[in-house]
Amino acid sequence: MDIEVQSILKNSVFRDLPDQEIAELARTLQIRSVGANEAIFKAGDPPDAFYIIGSGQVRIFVKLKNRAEREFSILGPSEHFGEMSLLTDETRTANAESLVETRLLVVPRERFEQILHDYPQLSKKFLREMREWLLKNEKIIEEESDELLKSSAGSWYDYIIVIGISIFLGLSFNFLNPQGIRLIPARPRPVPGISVSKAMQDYMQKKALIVDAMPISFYNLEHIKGAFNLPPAQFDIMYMAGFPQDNKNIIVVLYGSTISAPYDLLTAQKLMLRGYNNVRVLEGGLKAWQKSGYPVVKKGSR
Amino acid sequence: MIPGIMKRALTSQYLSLVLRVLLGAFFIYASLGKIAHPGNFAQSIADYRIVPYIAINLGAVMLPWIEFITGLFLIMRFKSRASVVMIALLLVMFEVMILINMYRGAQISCGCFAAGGEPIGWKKVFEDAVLLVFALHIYNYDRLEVMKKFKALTSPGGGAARPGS
Repeated sequence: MDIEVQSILKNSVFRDLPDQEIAELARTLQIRSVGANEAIFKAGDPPDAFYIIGSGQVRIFVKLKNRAEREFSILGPSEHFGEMSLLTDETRTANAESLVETRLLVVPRERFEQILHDYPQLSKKFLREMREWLLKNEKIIEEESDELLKSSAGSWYDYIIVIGISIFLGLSFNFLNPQGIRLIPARPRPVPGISVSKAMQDYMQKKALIVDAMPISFYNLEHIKGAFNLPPAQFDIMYMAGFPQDNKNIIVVLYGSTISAPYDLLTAQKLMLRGYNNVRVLEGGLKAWQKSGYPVVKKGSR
Repeated sequence: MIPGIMKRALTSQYLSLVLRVLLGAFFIYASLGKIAHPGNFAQSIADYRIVPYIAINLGAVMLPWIEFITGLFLIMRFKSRASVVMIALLLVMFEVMILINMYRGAQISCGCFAAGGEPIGWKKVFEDAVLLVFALHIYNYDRLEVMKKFKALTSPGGGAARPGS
């Protein structure tokens, strides 16, 4: 029995004490047995003893105001607890509870204080231990603040507010703005098509005009040789600036559309409003024209 | 010593404050011309040939307001983290759209400010990248808003005592 207690003490925080002192301690300390899930002491209790675990497991924890629990540690054989209040002369700051059936070596307060007095280097050990806790806490604070930071960016609520306000202001301003636009653009009416070869034939016989409806930067990049540029956005200016207006029965072959805008159809509408009644859309557009080997003007090749 | 000072200056929350105001003001400024003339902006978006026709006008109406609100909120520090994340996402989107069109080889105008404007090119890519760095800096170092709520980090003695003190 004594031998067993001595070997536990030999592995405990008291390991650096002389053998004689350990033997003496082993003789005088009390043994306390507790069942599973039994409170050893509670926060607020007056400190009466220092504990070393002989066998079993003890959980050290505090109950927070919001009824959550924060667990500091789970201790096993040869580990100790209960020194904090003894060292600071305050009531217990945490709870100790057995997890399983546990045997405790109880060092009464007076005995603990005497040992500390006789072997002052022991207090350094306790001090170092507390410092470890602080460092651990520091790390937890750091991790949690990082977590907080991350979670604060991921709050969907904030994104909904920002986007919601933008949408609301965007819609109402567009409604009030004299320059406002339709939110969903109208699909332009379809226009009859014309094949590449027929278009070329008519063009050669001067029965047709070819119109590139793409914006001017794309027209400059490449266009069918001899094509006029009539983008819908600048239609009026470009129409006035040299588009042949003498014969409105002439076939007008239009091409140029992208995923973002059916430029050919938009320009076709405008031409029809001006009285042109033979407006056609080139089937396959510029690509088909190029594929047939018909002449195309490219940037830099002029 | 010198790298220490450099590092502290570069990661300082005061630098973040300056960048926050700069980036916010830039976004507000960029949005104004587009807000006033949504039609022109719709054409600029169409030039990129990425957004489908049906969504062009909606984008032209909404996008400048998102720029305006995120810029304003960033300066006001109201929902500023969500705002800076959205600004960063917008900048990434702009970069992608510009790079795609540079690859396609079209000399389209950027549409970054009012109508017309500068053509897209490496200069624009670089400008957007700088703004993106600003946004990342703000995201990483502009912590006051969140940290104010976290007592352990801001109030002396509010948290655990510092080891070694």
